Amino acid sequence: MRRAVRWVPALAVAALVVAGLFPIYWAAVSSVTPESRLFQTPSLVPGRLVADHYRALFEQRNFWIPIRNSLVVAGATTLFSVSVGALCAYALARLRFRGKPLILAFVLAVSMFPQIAIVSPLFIVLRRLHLINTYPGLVLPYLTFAMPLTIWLLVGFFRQLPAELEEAAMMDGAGRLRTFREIILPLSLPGLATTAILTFLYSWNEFLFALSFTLGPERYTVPVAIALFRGQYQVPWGQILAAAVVATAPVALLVLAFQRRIVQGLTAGAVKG
Amino acid sequence: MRRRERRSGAERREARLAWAFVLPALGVVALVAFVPLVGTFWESLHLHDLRMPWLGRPFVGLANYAEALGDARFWSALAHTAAFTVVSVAIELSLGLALALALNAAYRGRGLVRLAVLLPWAIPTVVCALLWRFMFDSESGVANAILAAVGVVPRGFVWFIRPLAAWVPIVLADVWKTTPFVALLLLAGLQNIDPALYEAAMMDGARAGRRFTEITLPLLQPAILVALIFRTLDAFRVFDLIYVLTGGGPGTSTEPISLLTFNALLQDLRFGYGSALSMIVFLVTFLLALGYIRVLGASLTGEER
Amino acid sequence: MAAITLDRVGKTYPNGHVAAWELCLEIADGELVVLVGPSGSGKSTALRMVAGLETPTSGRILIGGDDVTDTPPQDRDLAMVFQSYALYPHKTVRENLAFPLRMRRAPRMRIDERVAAVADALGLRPLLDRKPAQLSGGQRQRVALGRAMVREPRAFLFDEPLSNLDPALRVHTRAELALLHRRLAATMLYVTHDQEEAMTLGDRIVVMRDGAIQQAAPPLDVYLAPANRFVAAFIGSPAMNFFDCAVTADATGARLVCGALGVSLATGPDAPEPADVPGGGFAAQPGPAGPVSPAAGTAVHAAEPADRATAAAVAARATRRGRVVLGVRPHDIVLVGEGPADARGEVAVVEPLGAEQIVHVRMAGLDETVRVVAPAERRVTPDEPVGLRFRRDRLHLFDAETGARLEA
Ligand SMILES: Nc1ncnc2c1ncn2[C@@H]1O[C@H](COP(=O)(O)OP(=O)(O)OP(=O)(O)O)[C@@H](O)[C@H]1O
Ligand SMILES: [Mg+2]
Repeated sequence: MRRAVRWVPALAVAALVVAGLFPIYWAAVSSVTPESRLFQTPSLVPGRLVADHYRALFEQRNFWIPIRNSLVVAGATTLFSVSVGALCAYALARLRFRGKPLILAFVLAVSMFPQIAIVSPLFIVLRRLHLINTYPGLVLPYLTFAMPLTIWLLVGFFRQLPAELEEAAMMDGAGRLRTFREIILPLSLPGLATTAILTFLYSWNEFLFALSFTLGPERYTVPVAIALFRGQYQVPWGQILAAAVVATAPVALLVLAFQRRIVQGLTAGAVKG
Repeated sequence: MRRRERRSGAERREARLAWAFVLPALGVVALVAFVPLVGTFWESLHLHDLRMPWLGRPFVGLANYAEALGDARFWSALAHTAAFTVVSVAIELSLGLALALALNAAYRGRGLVRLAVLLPWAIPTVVCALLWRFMFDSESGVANAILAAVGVVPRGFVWFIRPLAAWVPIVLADVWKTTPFVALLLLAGLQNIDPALYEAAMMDGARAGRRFTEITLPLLQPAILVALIFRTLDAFRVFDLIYVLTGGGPGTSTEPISLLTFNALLQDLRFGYGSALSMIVFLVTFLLALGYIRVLGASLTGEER
Repeated sequence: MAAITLDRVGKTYPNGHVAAWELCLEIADGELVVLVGPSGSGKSTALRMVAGLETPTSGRILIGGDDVTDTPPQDRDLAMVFQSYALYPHKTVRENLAFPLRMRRAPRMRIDERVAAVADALGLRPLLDRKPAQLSGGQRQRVALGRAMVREPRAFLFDEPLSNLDPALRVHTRAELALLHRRLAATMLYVTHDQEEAMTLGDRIVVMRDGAIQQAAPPLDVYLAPANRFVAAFIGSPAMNFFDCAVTADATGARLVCGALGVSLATGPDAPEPADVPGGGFAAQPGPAGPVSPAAGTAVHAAEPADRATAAAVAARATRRGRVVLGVRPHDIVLVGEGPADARGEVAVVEPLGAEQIVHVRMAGLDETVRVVAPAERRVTPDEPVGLRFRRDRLHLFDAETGARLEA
C-alpha cells in the first residue's frame, strides 16, 4: 500500500512527460518522413529521413517571409511595450500617488479583454489610416495585450527589489530618474529579460489580429501562414508539419534557454496574495 | 480631509513624476483598447455592411442585438462556448491539481518535467491545433490508429464529420496545451505552503487525507481561484484552436461565439451586426471578470507596502 | 555640519496611523542624538522625515537654519546608514563608495582620492573590487559607513546600523562610531532600540513612545531623573521596580506603604551608614549593565536635606490623592539580613550573571517579585528571608495617574 502510494506521483509525472512531449515528437518525426509513408500505419521510430518538406517550405512557399514578418512584428511589439511599460510599472510599484489601485485594476481589466471585442473598430480605423496589411497595423493592436502583460509582470519584479536601495541612492544624491537608471534598471535586468521573452512569445503566437488585419502572404505572420496552408488536391501534411516545427523552434529555444525564468515570471504574476 | 489640503511640494513632485511615467503607457492602452471598445459599441448601433456601401451607415438602435438574440445560430454558438468552457476548464483544473500534487511529491526529473510543461504552453495555438488535427486524421492519424487498434473506434473513423465527435480533439488539444500550465500555477501555490504546517498537523494526529482537506486545499484556494478564472476567461474567448482544428464544422456544430463574430465581421463584412456580437462577448467576459475582481481584486491589486 | 531642528513635526500615515506627533527637537551642530524607544514607537519615521524619505503631515524641519520640509532627499545633503546597509549589489565596493560623489559630479581625481582615504580609514582597501555579496556582515557594515563618510554631508543619519552584527562586533563598532563622531565633530542622529547603545553613544538621548517624545536629555540625566514612569521602566537594566503606594502624612514628612513595604521619606529608618550594610556598601556595587555614577555612594548624606524637601513636597501633593508610585532601580537596593529594612520578603529566584546576580524577592501583598542586583559574593538561597534597603537619594516618585515624575 505504502509502496503503491509512493509510486503514484512518479508514474503521474512520467505520464505527464510522455503526454506533453509526444505530440511534438510526433510532429517532428513526421515532418522528416517522406510524404508517401505518412499515410501508412504509423510507427514510433522513423524509417528513412528526408528534408523534402523543409526544402519545399522554403523554396516553393517562401516561408521565410512569414518568419521575417513575425520577427519584425513580435520584436517591435516587445521593444515598445517593455520600454514604455517599464516606466509605468516602476511608478506603479514605487512612487506614491493617488489612483494607483484604480490604474492597476484598469490594466488587469484590459488584459482580460476578449480580443474579438475590438476587431471591428480597429479594422475600420486601420483601414482609414491605410494601415491594414502593414507592420504598424499589427504592432498597434498587439499592444492591447502586450502592454498590460509587461506592466503587470514588471510591477511584480520591481516590488521585489528592496526599497532601501532606492532610498540609499536618493540619500546619496541621485534623483528619481537617476535612481531608476543607475539602480533599478541594472538590478531588474533579469526581470526585464523575462518580461521581454514572455511578451515576445505571446506576440509570436498571436493569431486573431494577424488573421484580421493582414490581406496577403506578403504580410502573413507565421501562425496565419500555417493556418492558411492549402494544397492543390490534398492537405500537404508534410509541409504543414515542417512549418509547425519551424514555427515552434524559436519558441522552444527560448523556453529551453530560460525555463527557470519563465516559470518564475508566469507564477509570480498569478500566485500573489 | 485636513491631510488632503496639506499636500507638500515633495509629494506633489513625486505624483507629477509618477503621472509622467504612467501616462504614455496608459495612453497607449486606452488608445488601442478602450477607444476601440467604445467604437464597437457605436458600430453595433448601426447598419454597416461593407459589401453594400450604397446603404450608407444608418442608425438602427438595438436592431442588431435583436437580430442576434433572435438567431438560433447565435444561441447555439453561445451554448458551444459555455459547454466547451465548463468541460475543458473542469478537466484542466482537476487534472492540473493532481499533477501539481504529483510534481510536488516527486523529486526526480525536474528539468524534463519543466520542459514537458512549458513546451505545450509555449507553442503557438495554431500549431497545437494542427498537431491534433494531424493525430486525429482519418488516414494518417496516430491517435486514430491507436484508438482503432484498441477497438474504441472503427478503423478509418472520421472525427471531423460528426457534430459530437469533432469536439473530442478540440477538448483534448486544449487540455494538452493548458493543463500543464494550470499544474505549474498550482505547484507554485503548493510550494508556498510552509512544510512546518504539515509537520504540525501530523503531530496533531491528522492523517494524509485530513492534511489535504484541512491544510492543502484551504491554503491553495487563492491559487486555484486564480487559475480557475484565468482559464475560464481564456476558454470563453477560444478562437484559434477551433478555427484551425474544425473551422467550426461540421456545419456550425463546433462554432464558438468568437468564431461566429469573426465570420460576421470579416467573412460577411457585416460590421454593425458583428459589432453587436462583439459587445455581447465583451459583456459576458466583463461579468465573468467582475466576479474575478470581486473575489481576488483586493489581494491582486493591493499595495504591498 | 549643521544643526537640525524639528518644529512640531507630525506624521499620519495614509492608513490613519499616527506615527509621529508634535515632535520638537533641536540637534546642535556636532551633537550626537540617539532616538530610542520600543518597536513601533516612531523612531524610524522621525529619522526618515529628517532624511526626506517620508513627508511630514504637519510641522517643519530645518537643517542649518534652512526649511527643508519640502526638499527631496537628494538635495538635503545628508548621509544615511541603513539597517540593511542597502549596498548596491551590482556595484563593487569601490563603485559603492564613489556613488555619492559621482552623483554630485565631483571630479574624477577627487573621487579616487576620497575613496582611497575612506577605504584606508575603515580597512576596506583589500575589498575594493569585491561585490557586496562577497563580504561578511561586518565588512558590509563598514562599506555602508564608508559610503556615508566619503563626502562631508551636513549630518549623518543612522537607522539601527549595528543590529545585524554579532554582539562582540556590535560593541567594537559602537566604540568606533563614538570615536568617529569625536573625530569628525559631525551632527548625527542615531536610531536604536538598544538602550545600552543609546546610553554609551549619545550626547543626548531622546526617548520615544507611540510617536511622541517622552524625554530628551543627556544619558545620565535620563537614567537618574527619568521624566516619567515609561522612561524609568525603559531605560536601565534590569528594569526599575515600581510600587503603587498609599501615602500618609506624618510629623516629619510622608510615609509610603505598599504591602510589606513601608518607606518614610523624611529620615529613613535609622538612616544607616553605608558601611553598616553587610556584603559591601552602595559604593561597592558597580553596575556593568547599567552605568551608575561612581560618586553615588558618597552622595547619600549630601542628599539628605534635599530628600527632606522632596518628601515634604510629595506629601503635600500626593496626599491629596492618597497614592503615588515609588520607583527603585535594582542596583539601588541592598539586601540585608536582620536589622532595619524598608521591606521584607523571601528570595524567589536567583539569576547569577557572573560579576553580580539578580535576586527576585517575593513580598507579601505584591503580585510581582522585586528585582535586586546583589554582588556575586553575597550567598543567597531560595526561600531565605531577606530585608531590602533602598538608597534614599535614588528613589523615584511618579504620579499614580499620569506617571509623571514628582519633584520638589
Ligand atoms: N508606511 C506605513 N504605513 C502605515 N503605518 C506605518 C508605515 N510605516 C510605519 N508605520 C507604523 O508607524 C509606527 C512607527 O513605525 P516606525 O517604523 O517609525 O517604528 P520604529 O520605532 O522604527 O520601530 P522599530 O524599532 O521596530 O524599527 C508603527 O506602528 C508602524 O506600524
Ligand atoms: Mg525602525
